[in-house]
Amino acid sequence: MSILKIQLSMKKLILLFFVITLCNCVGEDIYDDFVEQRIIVSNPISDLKVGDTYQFGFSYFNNVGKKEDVNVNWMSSNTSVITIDNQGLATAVAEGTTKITVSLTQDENIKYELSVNSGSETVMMEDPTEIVGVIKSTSSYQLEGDFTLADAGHGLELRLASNFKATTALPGLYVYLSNNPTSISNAYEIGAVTVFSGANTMSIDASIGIMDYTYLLYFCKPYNVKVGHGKISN
Amino acid sequence: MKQALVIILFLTTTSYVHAGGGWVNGKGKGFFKLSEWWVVADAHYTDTGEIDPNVTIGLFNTTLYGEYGLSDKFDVILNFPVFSRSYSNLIRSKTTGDVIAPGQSVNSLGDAELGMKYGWIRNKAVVVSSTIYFGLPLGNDMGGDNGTLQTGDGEFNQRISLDISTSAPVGNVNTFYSVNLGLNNRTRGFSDEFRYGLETGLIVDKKVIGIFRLQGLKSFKNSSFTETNGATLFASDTEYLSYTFELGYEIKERYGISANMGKAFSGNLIFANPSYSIGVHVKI
Repeated sequence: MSILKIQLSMKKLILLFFVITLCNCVGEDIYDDFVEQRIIVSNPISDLKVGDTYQFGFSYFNNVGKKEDVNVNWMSSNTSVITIDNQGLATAVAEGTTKITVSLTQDENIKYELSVNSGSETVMMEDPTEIVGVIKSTSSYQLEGDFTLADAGHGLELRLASNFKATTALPGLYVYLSNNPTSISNAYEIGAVTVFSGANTMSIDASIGIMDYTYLLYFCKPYNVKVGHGKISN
Repeated sequence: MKQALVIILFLTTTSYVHAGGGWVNGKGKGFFKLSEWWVVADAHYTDTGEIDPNVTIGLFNTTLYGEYGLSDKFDVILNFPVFSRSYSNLIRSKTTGDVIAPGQSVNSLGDAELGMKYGWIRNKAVVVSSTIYFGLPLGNDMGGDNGTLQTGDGEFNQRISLDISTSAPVGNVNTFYSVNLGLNNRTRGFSDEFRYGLETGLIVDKKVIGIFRLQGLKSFKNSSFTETNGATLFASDTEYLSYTFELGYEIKERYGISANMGKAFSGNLIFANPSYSIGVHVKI
């Protein structure tokens, strides 16, 4: 009887092993990657010559920072100075100043406002040729230093300053450009970090504009763990 | 008392990190242990000793462990994870519900160890033995889409340990105490390691066993890697100080079951979550 009990106990234990093995299925981790939606005028001007027209464009980034096509409304606060149609085509009709607003059709609170003068010439608002920022660790891994995102003529360059320091204790530290400070799912991958201390430069594809992204992100790519970031602002 | 010492041998054997004791089995004697060991980790100790989150990683080992006395002083030991499974969770966006990164898993054998243990001092109040282990990299050190799933470290290592143990009755309870020191020579550019352990336990009525174990690992930090290779159980510069609680019950003279829970107090580049194990052992 006791031997039978032992055998039953062993069988139960071995069965438990199999249950544990079967239960170790891949599960789900939920990441909070919410960011505020934003819309910008992608080709702003400060002045529009009276009598001329100008086609405005826009970029919309959804609540995870992904660029999306959406329907928008265009509006001029002073149509006696500049008129604008629903496709963003503006016409300067008289001298003065107005506020051009582009807003999401579905939510007019998501908007971008641009002050435009109507006068003797059209003046484009050029993108900056370089933006400086500071990289900070958001983990307990070492990551710090100043950076410059600069137009090198053949594309952008990420120039890390002499005070740059990054941990070597990660199996794959990568740097990205992203519009979401917590996620690389819609980010542009600049590349793997190979220089962990001191000044160094990384090239960025010529298709990337200096104002396309708002964050420089450092992630441990193999484990999808954020290490730190730098805010891109001019 | 002798049976109590055999029980200690059963219980001081874990499926992942073998601390053991100073006792040897004796000629023609030994035991087998089948155990399931697992850890599910959503956090890890970083290189600064702090705890950071990570995508949830699971590692499960089904292990056959055996010790057998070839002579009164000489044991052979085999620690063989016959089934090892590692997985990482799928990552889903809370905002959109979209998959950010797919889950993945790998199944394989695990890294095995073949050991030879020699009892320098036996049948005394204090017993001393030393063991040499040869690591056999049967596991997968680059599993999954990005090589992050591991059931082994991919290197042949040689580990030596010195175990000193004693036991003493306290009323109807047998107590035992062990000290362990070891060196692990790792190859393929991995850092070598110094290991140490303290263990104390008690046996009540030759049936119920409780063990508390402290184990430490210090890396020599002599890796040849430019970057370390993760913060898992198989990383190069891992360090930790951990504790383990173990409970065992001798169902019959030849059979017993045990369960333990272990966790690192502190560490570098290793999982920060507790590990668990259950096992059944049979005496030869």
